Formats: sequence, structure tokens, C-alpha cells
Amino acid sequence: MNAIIILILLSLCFISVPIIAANIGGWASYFGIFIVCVIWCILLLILRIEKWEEI
Amino acid sequence: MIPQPTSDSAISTIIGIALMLIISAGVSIFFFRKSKSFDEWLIGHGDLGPIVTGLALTATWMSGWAIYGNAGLAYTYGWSGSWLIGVTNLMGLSLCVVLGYRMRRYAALGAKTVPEVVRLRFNSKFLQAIVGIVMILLLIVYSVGQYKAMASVWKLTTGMDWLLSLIFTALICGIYLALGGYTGTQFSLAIQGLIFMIVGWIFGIGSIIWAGGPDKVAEAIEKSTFVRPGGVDTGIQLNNYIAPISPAFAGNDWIGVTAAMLMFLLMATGFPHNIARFLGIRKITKREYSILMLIVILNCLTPLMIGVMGFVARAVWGSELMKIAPVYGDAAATLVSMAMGGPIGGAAFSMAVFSAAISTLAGMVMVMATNITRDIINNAIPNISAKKLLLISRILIIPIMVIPLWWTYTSPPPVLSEFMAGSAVAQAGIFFFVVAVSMYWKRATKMGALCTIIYGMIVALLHPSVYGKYVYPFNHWGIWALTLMLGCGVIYFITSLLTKPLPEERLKELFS
Repeated sequence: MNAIIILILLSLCFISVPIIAANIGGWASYFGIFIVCVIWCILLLILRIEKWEEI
Repeated sequence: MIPQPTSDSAISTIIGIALMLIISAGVSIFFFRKSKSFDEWLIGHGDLGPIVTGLALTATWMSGWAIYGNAGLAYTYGWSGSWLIGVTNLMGLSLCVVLGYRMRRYAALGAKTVPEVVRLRFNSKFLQAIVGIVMILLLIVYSVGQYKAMASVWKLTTGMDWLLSLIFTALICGIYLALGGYTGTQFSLAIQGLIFMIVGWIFGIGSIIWAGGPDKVAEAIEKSTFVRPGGVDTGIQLNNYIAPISPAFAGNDWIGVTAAMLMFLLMATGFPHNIARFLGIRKITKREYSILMLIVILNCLTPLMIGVMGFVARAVWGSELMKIAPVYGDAAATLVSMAMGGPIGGAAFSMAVFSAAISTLAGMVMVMATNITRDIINNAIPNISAKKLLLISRILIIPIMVIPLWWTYTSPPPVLSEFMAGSAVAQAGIFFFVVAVSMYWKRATKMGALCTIIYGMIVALLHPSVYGKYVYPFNHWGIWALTLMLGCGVIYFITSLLTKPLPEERLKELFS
């Protein structure tokens, strides 16, 4: 995957956190935010592996 | 009914903690025998794999804040406490895994400590000493939180006096750290990381069932209001992810929330005791790297599980704990564990808290002691023998542990995690740029790094609980934290671009 696309997706993950908290609430937000973080983590892992030599 | 300490709970807690410490001390003594030189004591053999590194990393990352204080945040602030609980903590730690791996390159060039990485990067012994001093100042504040966590859980389960509880915890930390050094610490940390992950998950999930299910807990939180430490009910609802409690509270509004998210994003990499975990890692494959990341994902859910115990305590006991000084809502998780599992439950949870707090404290004390010996004394007296440095490091552990101990005894912070967040913001703002970004950005300069440190430390003093309360708008936590972290970034980049970088040949050595 293109690094720029991954960076855009990472930004979207970050921005979506307060949106989830403000619009859903309760347990769904509490663990929903963590799921967004797992997606972030997977995206970072993909980016890291793609840029293995450079990083 | 809120559980009270009994002789059974005291005995079980002593056995549980002793068991955890015997295993940790055994590992430490094993590596003490293997550490033949000062350098080995500092960094081991640079041969640690992804599982040990991953567990050790999560252990230093998750301190008394996460495994103990998070329940206090959930109990005290309801859903709005989630931001300091670290619902986004995985974002920051995974970023640390990506950026921190480059520490290996500096370890290969001879770096044994984080300030030494800075010296190599900027070719400046002066900057190395400054970084060492600043780390010590910020880590002492952070150590206070570890003591409060361990001493509180000890006091709650055994009924022992506050001062004796503090002294007991300090003695244990000092002994095993002086024995084991880095490699011992790294393995002990890994064991401790595993312990608190298992215990945290079991209690987090179990407590929801114990309280009657998630809906019942959520319903109780919806009806809860903010009660100040001491027991005064403010009437402020805790049913949202922000609550207008005070500008000094991170969950007060969306500015505070943004600052808390940014803090969690930067601080895992900014924490010197965290990023130092990568100094001893061996070269790993892509598959091993994925395993390291998986361990990080699994353990980053643990702080949320501890938060769950705080919500449960609030649902079951209402605001009663806010009347119990000096621990207040921070007692939530310990008491839930005792109510759920009796003396054995209390003992198991105490083990987890000690694992988390001791591991972070050990990592920090190690950084502070070696900052003084390696980065300040050895810097000033290059010919000093390695034997003397090792001895001084071990002796220095005593004052480094006593200062925060005294602080915790004389003025324990009412809400542990809120207090620790102050130091975390400063570490995040300063060291994320000075250490992590500098490893990747060729154009970074010594002057850029120095100005970032000076700016960060000045703004740190404007914390809402220090001088910020007199200087508008720094009485607002979010504004203060964003000013510090974003300001550090701006100062770092602009000053670096305006000053001269290292010669190209030198940069080639570091970046090729």
C-alpha cells in the first residue's frame, strides 16, 4: 500500500476518536476507540514493514 | 459493603507480592552474576528478542498510573476519565515500536543510555549532560506516582501505616535493581508485564460480571455526579466523554481531550525509560517484529480493563470512596478485587500493581542512576574506572529512591494519574522531538534540541497546579499541554532550520 494512503488513513483514525466518543458514548465508545487504535496499529505495522530498510 | 483489611488479606498479599518478587529477584541475581562489566550491567549483550522486549516495553509503559490509577480515574470522573485512562494508549506505544527500533543503530555505535544517543546524534557532551539532568527532574515527579500506587495497595490490603508501606516498597525496588542491572531488569520487566496482563484481564472482565453486567454498570455511571475528594457533591453529570469539572481537568472539554490524545501519542516514545528498551534488542525479522506488535496490542488493552474496575466500583458503592483520605477513588480497583475474590483476589491484584509500579520505577531509577554516572560524572571525568562507575550507580539508587518517597509521604497526590500526566506531557513534548525525531531527521541541530529542552522545562512550570493557576490561560490543562507539546515541535523545527547541522560526513555515519 502506498505510504501516503497509509498516512491519510492513520490521520482518519486519530480524528475519528473524539467523533466516536461524542456521538456514541458508553461502553461502545470505550472499546470502540480501542478497535480504532488496533486498526491504527496494523496500519503502522504495514508502513513499517514496507519501509523495512529505511526505518 | 466496602471490604476492610483483615489478617487473612494481609497474609495473602504478603505471600502474593513475595512470590512475584522472589521470581523477579531470582532473575536479577542470575543476571547480576553474568554482568561482568559496567557496560554489560547497563545494556546487557544486545541479544534480547521480540517477546522479552515487547513485554518489558509494555511493563515500563504501564505504570502505577495504568494498573492502579486508571480505576481511580474511571471511579472519579466516569466516562470523561477515559482520556487519561489511555483509551488511545495503543496509538502511542505502537508508534514507539516503529520509531524506537532505530535505537539499535546508536547502540551499535556505542550508546549505552538515551542521553548517549543524543551525544552521538549531535556530537555534544554538553547536550548529553543537559538531557540527563532534565530526565532526572521529570522522572522524579513520575516516580511519586509509583510509590503512591504500591504503598496504597499495601495499606489497603494489610492495614499497615502509610509511612511503613512506603518504606517497604522502596526497599524492595532498591534491592532488586542494584542486583540485576539492565538485562536483569529487562527480564524481570517481561515477567511483570505478563503478570499484570493476565491479572488485569481476569479482573476487568470478572468485575463486570460481578457487578451484574455492562448495562447495569453503564446505567449507574449515567446517573453519577462528580464528587470532590473529601465528599462534596458538585452535581456535575458524568454521563458524557467530557465533563465541565475544572479547566485543570483533561476531560473538561474537547481542547483537553485533544491534548490528552496528543500526549498519549507522543509520550510512549518520549519516555526515556520506554525507548531505552530498544538499546538491548537484537536484529529481528519482519515476522518477529509483528509478534512484538501483537504483544503490544494485547497488553495495551490491560489499562482499559483496570478502568472497567473503576466504573464497576462506582456502580456498586456510589461515591463513598471519595471520603476515604489519602487514597480516595484510587482505592477502587484494590477494593473491587478484594470484594470479588476475598483475600486471594486482593493478593492477586496487589501482585499486578506491584508488578506494574516496580517495573516502571525500576526502569526509571535505572535511567536516572546511569544518567548521573555515565552522562554527567563520566562526561566530566573521562578516565574514571568502570568499577567505580558501577559502584556509584548502585549507591545513587538510594537517594534517587528516597526523594520521591519523601514527596509521596508528605503530599500524596489526590488523583494519581492526573498528577503523573503533568510529567508525562513534559517528557512527551521534549523527548519525542529531541530523541526520536532527531534519529530520523538529518536537519535537526544541537541548538534546536537545546532550545526545545529549555522551552519545554519553562512551560512545564506553568502547569495548572504549579504556576499556571496564576497565569491565564495556563490554568486550563488542555491549553497548557498543547502549548508545551506543539510549542516544543515548533521551536525544534524552526531553530534547527535556522542553525547549522552536523557536517555531511558525520551525518552519513549516523544515517547510512
